Amino acid sequence: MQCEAFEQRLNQLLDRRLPVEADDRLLAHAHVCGPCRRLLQGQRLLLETLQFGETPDTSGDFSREVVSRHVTQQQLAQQESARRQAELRRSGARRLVRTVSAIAALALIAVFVTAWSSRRGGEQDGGRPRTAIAEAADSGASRHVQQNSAALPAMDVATLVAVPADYELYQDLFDIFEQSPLEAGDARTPHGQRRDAAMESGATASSIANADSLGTVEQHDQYAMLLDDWRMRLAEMPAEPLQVEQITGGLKPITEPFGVAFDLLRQTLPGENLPGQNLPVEKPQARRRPRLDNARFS
Amino acid sequence: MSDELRILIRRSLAGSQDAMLQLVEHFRGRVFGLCYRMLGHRQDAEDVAQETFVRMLRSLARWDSTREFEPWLLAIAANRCRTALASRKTRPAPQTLAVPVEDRSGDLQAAEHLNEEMMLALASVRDEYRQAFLLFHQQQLSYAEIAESLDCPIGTAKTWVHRARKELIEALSRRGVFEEKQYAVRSV
Repeated sequence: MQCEAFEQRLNQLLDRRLPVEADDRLLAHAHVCGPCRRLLQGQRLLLETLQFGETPDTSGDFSREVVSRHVTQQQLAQQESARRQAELRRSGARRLVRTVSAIAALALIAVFVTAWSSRRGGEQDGGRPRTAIAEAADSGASRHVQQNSAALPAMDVATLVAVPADYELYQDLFDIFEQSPLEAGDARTPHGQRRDAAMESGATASSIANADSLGTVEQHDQYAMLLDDWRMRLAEMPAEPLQVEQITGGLKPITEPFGVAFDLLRQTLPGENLPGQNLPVEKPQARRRPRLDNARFS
Repeated sequence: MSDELRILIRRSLAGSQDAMLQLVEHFRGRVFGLCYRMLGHRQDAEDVAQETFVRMLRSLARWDSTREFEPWLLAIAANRCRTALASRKTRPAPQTLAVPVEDRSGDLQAAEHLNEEMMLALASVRDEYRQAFLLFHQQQLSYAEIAESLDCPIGTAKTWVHRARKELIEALSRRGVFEEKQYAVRSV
């Protein structure tokens, strides 16, 4: 038997908890091999020491201490559990109170919003919204338009154009252009509109003014005469402000003093209505624009 | 598992302190022996043994009654010993006071000397090897039970036990234990 086989055999016996002294093959090899003999003696000694070796005993009240510790820990755990449950109940009650408060607050807000919106709806005039700005514009800013409202039942503010104050004086200048009607919704100046409309050949006023090849000589001469006459009269025209300014869509002219406009705006706020007044509170942008009758300029 | 032990466990689960006391008393020697061999320090071993039993009583309801009770308890003890050894590495190791050996008969003195040598040898091997070795040779657990207790494959448990044997013999040889007179160990 080799030393390696001896070690394997020894381990096999020890694993099966069999006595090593009863194995003849091991003893025979241990008899002739010094290291293996020491190994065998060492194993036997080690296991005997482990089994019969003196082990100090525990203290006398070891078991009682263990049980006492366990019972104490259990009581502490129960107290902690009870405390947590009580805290959970308290927090649950607090959460319930918070939820009810939140629901009540939401209900109050909903009632307030509903009342406010219904009051606002009642202030509308027959379903057609009117605003303080519109009121102001009707009474002040668009006074000029209002004066001619009989002739202008529907006016589109976006199509308003700048017209000289003494527009009527120069009416005869544009007679030659009466042959061609204006295009509806054309936002250019009346002079330009009429000028372009008069170009039957398709040439534009600018092309004639620039002496482009598109315009005929006769048209060019007519227009040149017209321009000369216009310039001569223009020098004699007094410098007066325009009656109606051309503004971009969405903006409304405010001709009243700023204080009046501010008061009007303030009255649009909820609860700011003066006693006895029933001013609408609609946003200015929501105002309906009257349509412009283009026949006014024809 | 004996019926007596089952009754003890059932009564302990019901909250009987007397049954708990008997249960601890029944396994006290084995658990403390394992802890003592593992830690090599009496006071530490007693603390860990106490902790083992307290944990055992606390988790008794989670014990699977279809399995053996003792390997489960020794697994708790082994885990506590491992934890104690790991925490011992972060603090100074306890020093055993040198107690003068009384002049007693030669055999008894030799047995005590051999016991000390074995404790030193056990302390020199790896924790896993020592644990597996003690569970197999001291607690007489099978390799399957050791594998279950240490949460490792059976082959690994077997390897650990073999290496522990070899390293212990080598350690005892280095200290010249086998060159001295032939010891005869007897039960005292």
